Amino acid sequence: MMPSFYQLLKKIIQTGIGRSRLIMATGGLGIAMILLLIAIQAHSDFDQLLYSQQNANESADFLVINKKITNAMMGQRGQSMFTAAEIADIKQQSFVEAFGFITSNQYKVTAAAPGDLHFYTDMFFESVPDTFIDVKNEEWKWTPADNTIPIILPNDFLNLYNFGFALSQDLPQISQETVKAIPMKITISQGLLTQEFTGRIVGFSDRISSFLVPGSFMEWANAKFGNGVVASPSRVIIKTKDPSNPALVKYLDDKGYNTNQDKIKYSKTKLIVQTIVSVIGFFGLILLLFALLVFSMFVQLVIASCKKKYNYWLHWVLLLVSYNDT
Amino acid sequence: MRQFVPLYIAIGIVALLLVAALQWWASKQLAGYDMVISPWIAAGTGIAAVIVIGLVYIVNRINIRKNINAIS
Repeated sequence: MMPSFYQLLKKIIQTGIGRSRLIMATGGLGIAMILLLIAIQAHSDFDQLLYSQQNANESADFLVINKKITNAMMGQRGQSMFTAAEIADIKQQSFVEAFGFITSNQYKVTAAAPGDLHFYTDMFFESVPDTFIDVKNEEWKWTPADNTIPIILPNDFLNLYNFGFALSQDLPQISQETVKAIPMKITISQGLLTQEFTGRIVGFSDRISSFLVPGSFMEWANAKFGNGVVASPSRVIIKTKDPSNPALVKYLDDKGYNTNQDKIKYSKTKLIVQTIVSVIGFFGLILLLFALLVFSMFVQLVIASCKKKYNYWLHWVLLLVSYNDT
Repeated sequence: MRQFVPLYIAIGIVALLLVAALQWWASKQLAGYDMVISPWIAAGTGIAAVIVIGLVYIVNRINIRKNINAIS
């Protein structure tokens, strides 16, 4: 009875000739597979960590941008402000998903603590569109009928006080809850026009390092106490899908703009990870090719070695190869 | 060649197990940062493994046929 092609080939392979090559090919193929899968896995993991919705709160999506203050710009306030053309240019960049102005106050602001705390300071207010604020609070609203102004403080500000100023001056450290509970006396003035409000801290922001008030209050107060001139913004905030986008980093560098460098640190990390993943993937592919080559050589060697011994079978093998699908 | 298929499957399973162990370790490490790695990534890697094994099978099959023809 004529043996089948598979039986013949199996018999040839089982002779043991070139077994070391088969082991090498198997090892090579295994390592190549592992390297390729690691490259795919690492690439997917990094993408997932940077861009997935679940991790959206962990990655920096919002960047506050301002111009770098140089020695030449000192004393010239206008030079640190964004012109209409510069704003339009930023808005049309592909990496900008949303754009907002940071509006400054055009009046004097002072804050005083109530009772015997003897705290008084000049300060400033800024406002940003609500969609850019990381503090969600029902108290974050203001109408002209309200005498209480909700305020968001930067988290860094409280940390600086608690761990810098308070410790060095032997003053008590204050918790966030206490700060929220203390009503502040806020006085807004411009010339002879003065109005008093109660300021209440409603949250602490990690995203925007400024004293924030609602946009409706800023608009009303600037109209009432301001000089009537709409000032250009000196800081803007953008929402971007990928703060580590090298195009964004290059744009900021080219234009001489500044932002929180910590938020764009992923740009370098991403580049390093991409390089490592590419190198692993490349070596995996090369190794895979070599493993295939060794497999091929193994079969070649086995068949060549057995050519004389199994000449009759080989005749049938070749005959069957011509007709059978392997 | 069908004779090598069990070998390919064994290699694929070993590679997948090692990468799964790496993924498990990475997930544990990132848990401290409240970061999440989706299980779909592991599924994608599994599919990639099947594709690579399939390609290896096809290429080896072509090579072996070529070798046999050359020797004849």
